[in-house]
Amino acid sequence: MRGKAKRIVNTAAFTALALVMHVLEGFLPPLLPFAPGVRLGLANIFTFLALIFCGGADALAVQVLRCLLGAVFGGNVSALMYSMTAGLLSYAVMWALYTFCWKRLSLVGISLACSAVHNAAQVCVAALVLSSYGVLYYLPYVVLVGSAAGLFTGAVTYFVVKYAGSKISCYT
Amino acid sequence: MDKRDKLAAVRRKKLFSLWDLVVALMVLAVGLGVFFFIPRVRGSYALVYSDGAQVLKLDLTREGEYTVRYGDGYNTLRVTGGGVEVAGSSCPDKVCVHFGRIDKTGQEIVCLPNRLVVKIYAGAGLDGVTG
Repeated sequence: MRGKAKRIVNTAAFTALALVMHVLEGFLPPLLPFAPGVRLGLANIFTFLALIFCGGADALAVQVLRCLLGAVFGGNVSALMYSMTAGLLSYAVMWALYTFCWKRLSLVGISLACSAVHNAAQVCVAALVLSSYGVLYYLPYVVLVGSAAGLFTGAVTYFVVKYAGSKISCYT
Repeated sequence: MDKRDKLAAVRRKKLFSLWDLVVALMVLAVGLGVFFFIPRVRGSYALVYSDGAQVLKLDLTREGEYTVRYGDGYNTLRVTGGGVEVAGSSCPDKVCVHFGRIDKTGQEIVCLPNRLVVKIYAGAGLDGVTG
């Protein structure tokens, strides 16, 4: 019973932290002036931490709740289709890589792939929504900058995992 | 493997691994590779940059002639049939004039002596809402 309570508390805490990051990030200027969807992805750090410290189902909950609540708190519900599609796709990649390739890849590598997929997915959704192929021309820039952002968030995740106390883990 | 052991193993790992490089290269290859597979579509407007700053937005559905000046030089742009060409230029080499007419997205004409760039775009651009 104690383990279950800890999981709920941890998932809630990670969701809250991710949401705060999501909202704060909205105040920052976009990394690329022509593509407002490209962000540092700070909120993703907490999804990743939830995956590492709690497990796949908990991290999925964090990701979905963060996207939903982020749309409510950000006051921009139409952005939900971008963040939810990209959020689910990138989470699938993150989960698959962490589950099956964790021995070979470092956390930074997983984060990089996740971030690249996240940004590519957003551009693809934008292309569909605006029904314009021209938007896809942004893809290389967006993926490049997104990958760099993924390196950063991956490094942050790595240091948290390495040096944070074992108390935040659900497993110990 | 027990989840506790996995977490302990992850904690012992280094910041980077060699396979990260493989992932990074794959991401780059796909990201840049997509560039060559995007179907070229006819543009709807062209942006004209002089010395890096946007000076004109040309509606490609409306025919007409425009002149862009840069210092003592000039370029004359002509919009015809959904495309744009440089009809006249003060530059010595006339590369921009000989380049001909462009009408597909992503195509561009550059006149280096006059610091002029004409680039074609389609649709509404990425001004939509993203999150």
